[in-house]
Amino acid sequence: MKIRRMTLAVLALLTLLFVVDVRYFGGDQSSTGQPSIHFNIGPNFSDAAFEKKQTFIQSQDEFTTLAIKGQQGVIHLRSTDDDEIRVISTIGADSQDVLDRLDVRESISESELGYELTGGKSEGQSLQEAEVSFVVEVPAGMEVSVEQHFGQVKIKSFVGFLNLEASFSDVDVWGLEGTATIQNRFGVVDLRQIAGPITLHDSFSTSTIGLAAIDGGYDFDIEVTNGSLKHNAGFKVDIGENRVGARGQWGEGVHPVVIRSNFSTVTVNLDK
Amino acid sequence: MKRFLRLLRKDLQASLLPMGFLSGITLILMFFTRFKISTGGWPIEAAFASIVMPLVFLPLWLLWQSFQTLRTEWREDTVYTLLVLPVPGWQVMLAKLLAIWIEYTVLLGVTAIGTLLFFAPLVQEAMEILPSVVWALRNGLLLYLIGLALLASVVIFVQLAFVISKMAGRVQGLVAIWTLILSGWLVEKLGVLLEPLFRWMPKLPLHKLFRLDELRQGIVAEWNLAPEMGTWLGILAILVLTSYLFEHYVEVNG
Repeated sequence: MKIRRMTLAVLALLTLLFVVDVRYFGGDQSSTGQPSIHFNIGPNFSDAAFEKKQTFIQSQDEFTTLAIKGQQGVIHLRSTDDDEIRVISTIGADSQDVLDRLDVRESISESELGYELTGGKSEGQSLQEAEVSFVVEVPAGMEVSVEQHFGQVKIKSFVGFLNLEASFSDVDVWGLEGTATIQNRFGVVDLRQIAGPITLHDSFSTSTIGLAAIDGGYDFDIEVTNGSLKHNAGFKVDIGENRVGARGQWGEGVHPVVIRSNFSTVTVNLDK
Repeated sequence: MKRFLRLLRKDLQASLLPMGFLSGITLILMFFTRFKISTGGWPIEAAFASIVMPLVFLPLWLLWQSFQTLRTEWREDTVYTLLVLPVPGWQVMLAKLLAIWIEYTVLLGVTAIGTLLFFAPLVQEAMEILPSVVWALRNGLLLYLIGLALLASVVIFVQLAFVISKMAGRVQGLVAIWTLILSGWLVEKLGVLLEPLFRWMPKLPLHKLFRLDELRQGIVAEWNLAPEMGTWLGILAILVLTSYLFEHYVEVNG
């Protein structure tokens, strides 16, 4: 009986302490106010302690293709009326030592001009500790290949042929006249005012394709596996086991729109 | 040891029916979701929901179950036998904890099997982004062990709350809930108070433990163990206290 009374007395005392703690100390859960688990994903471009900028200018003359390979940063791309290819790269790293070992290398292979991050002897390690962003301006009509992982791609007013491969990235395209081939995994693709043929392969993504109403129209060939398809383009949707397929034309059906999607949400908007 | 195993077997037998029922419900839910997705009735997101739903429900169920295993002893008057048996209180509490662990493992296993069985393409696609199968299994095992530890602490709190409630003459339900809140607050405060004693402990590099660099470079996750040590010691003390109270002072007629 004594122990029962003691237990209940302890309970009452703890209740009093609890009330005092909550009332006067706000029930702070830690002495430092810091969480026990510290989590950080880096390097982050905006937080990069050290940066290095390089500018490359080439005349288009002999080049038909430009290849850009980025990681973690932002790739800006747009077309111009000039005949010059301008690439401004910015490398970000957390230490000067890492930054010193890194460079954006310009490579020329026949008619292809390429830019990517290289890190000299200890390449593997340094590359993983850094990120690179590009601002690219190309003459209209050129073919551009972009590869991006863990970053962003922003394309505006592009005229030409675009090959884009992205993963874990946000892709924004606003205004594209020409042909686009896009492969995307684990990202968000937002395409607006697209005028021309487009091929999209995506998985585990959210993709929005906004097509401009152009002469010749579109020929839709869409297959979405384990995902969903929304559209306003008027084509027929065939729902099968684990898949949604769509075939149809708008206008004369000249420009093919091919979409192959897995575990994704696809929205096709046509500006009629 | 034999007596402990008998206690464990008794608790497992009691949870056999609900365990089977929940396993069945989980598999039926997954099968039904798979069927609806296949026919285009539901979006693919439903697959994630049917995997996550049992996992969300599981902790709630186990919380209830940890309370229920003790409550049954009183309801069916088997607590008399338990207290008469030459078995220390900590073994009774530990057997119940182990039974809950086994239940957790079985239900988690059923969810995993159901996912592989009904959503294999989803798993296959997910595996493509992971560094390797070994990496996934290793980290899955680590998360499972962390789950066991968290579950153990919850069960220990519930056991204390129940035993204390049985020492009160009236409003036992309210006493149990209030004890649950107070014990959680107390061990947290204990962690804060004892933190200076454990500052010498190095931070646990979780990113190395989980090999997060294989997934993506640059992830740093560190766990400061100093404030946790006092909490863990407090939880251990609660287990000892509960066992002691159960063995010596609990009211069987409550």
